[in-house]
Amino acid sequence: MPSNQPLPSSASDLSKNWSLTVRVLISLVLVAHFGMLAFNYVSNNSLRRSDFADQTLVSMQPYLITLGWYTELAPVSLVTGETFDQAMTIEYKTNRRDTNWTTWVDSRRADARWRRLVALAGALADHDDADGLGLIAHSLVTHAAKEGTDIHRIRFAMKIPSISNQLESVYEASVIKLNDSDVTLIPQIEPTRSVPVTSVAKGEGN
Amino acid sequence: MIAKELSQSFYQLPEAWDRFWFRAAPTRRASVFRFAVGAVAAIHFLSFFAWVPQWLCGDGWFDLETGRYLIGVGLPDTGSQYRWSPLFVATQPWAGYMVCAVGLLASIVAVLGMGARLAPLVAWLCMLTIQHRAPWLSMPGEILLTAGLFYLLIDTGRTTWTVRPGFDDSTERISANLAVRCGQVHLLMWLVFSAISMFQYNVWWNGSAVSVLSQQINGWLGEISSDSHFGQFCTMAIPGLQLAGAFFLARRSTIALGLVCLATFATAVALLAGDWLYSLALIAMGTVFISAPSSTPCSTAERTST
Repeated sequence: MPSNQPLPSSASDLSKNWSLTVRVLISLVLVAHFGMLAFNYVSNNSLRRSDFADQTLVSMQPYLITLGWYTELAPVSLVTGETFDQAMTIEYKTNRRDTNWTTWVDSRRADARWRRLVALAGALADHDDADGLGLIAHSLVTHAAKEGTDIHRIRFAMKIPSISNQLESVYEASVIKLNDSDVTLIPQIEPTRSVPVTSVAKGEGN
Repeated sequence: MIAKELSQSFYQLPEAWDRFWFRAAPTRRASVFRFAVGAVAAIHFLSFFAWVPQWLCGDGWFDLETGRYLIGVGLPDTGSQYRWSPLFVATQPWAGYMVCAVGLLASIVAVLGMGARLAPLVAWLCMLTIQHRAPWLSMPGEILLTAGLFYLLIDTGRTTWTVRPGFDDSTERISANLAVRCGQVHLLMWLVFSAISMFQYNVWWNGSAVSVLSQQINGWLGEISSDSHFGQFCTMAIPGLQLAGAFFLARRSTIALGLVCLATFATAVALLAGDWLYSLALIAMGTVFISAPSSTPCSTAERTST
């Protein structure tokens, strides 16, 4: 047990101020508290936790989340995963005629909070969550407009080593201004074909 | 023989438990803990001014709708209903400034030894207010510090500003011991958990984690190549330092060594991961293992016994 304080001659001498009932009750609270904490830590260590762990964790949520003990979303391992840790940028164009993207946030140069946001966008891209990416993009565009930067087009781009070492767009949208204070985003629809059709194969039966 | 020793240990368990948690201890160590956690919390709140009002207001960089979506509002089993942040309701920038200012003030009051349990309670609530609004943007240091602030509620430590000469804070209280013990157990669990969580990512096994971190932060040590021996050594050392720190801190006779491991890990976090606020939070939590000078020194036998 960790301590470098002098030990009392007898434990009971110094703990006599608290009755046995109080000590038993507090002991139960301590066991429950650290037990739940340990379960939370162990369960959240795995991205593929069992149904049992999942259900138990859900039943502990009122205590763990309300009082801030829940660590599922914290980057305790310092890295956040292979895909999320890739270099990622948020880029924009201010008008239709722009040919080059202007880098807004570069995960390699941003501060910790922007890096977290970019890593979050990476996680959403990894899960094909276009709604989540769209909401983040909308939030950024709206706030930028409020600060005087009118964005015409926005995209998230990340390095995907399996494809190339260049930044690849994982989300791109055009910004349509609805009124002075609101905008809507129209995401670019991914092309269904990446190779142009040059000939039509003839069926065997013909 | 072994069975006899085991049964003896089993029967001694309640007494050992009682001795660990429920003996009275000088408030000195709880006071140091309060000072350290309060000071680092104040630094955190100061840094929050730079992002909370601009990010978490209704139409900030991370607006309300995005925040609600990402905590899983409306989806089963996400626990979003337990995220109670007032920043979901008060959406003006002044609300963010208010939370930061109140948290900063409460932390300073806690450092000064005033405000009894109210000061750490308010600081803890302010910290949670921000975390619940945007848990995805929370950093590890904030999570750790929140736990520290919570344990400060168990004992007030010093109740007056003790710089004035002649103040005696050697009063013994069970609650002071309980607060320190909770902090100790929590930090040990945190170190072990943090190290184990690293092992689920390939980069900590193939030696490139530090390289990944250095590319992200563009930090003081520059970009470290994944091929460099230095980077690979650091990648191995970081989880090792946490496990070694937890192991040594858990043993009375090796606490000093454990503190060295903890300090080295904290330094590595600042230099390699660029997260100096997490580094400070680790050091603040580590103070629960630091023995404040006592007016009644204990014997060598007492120091080395477990």
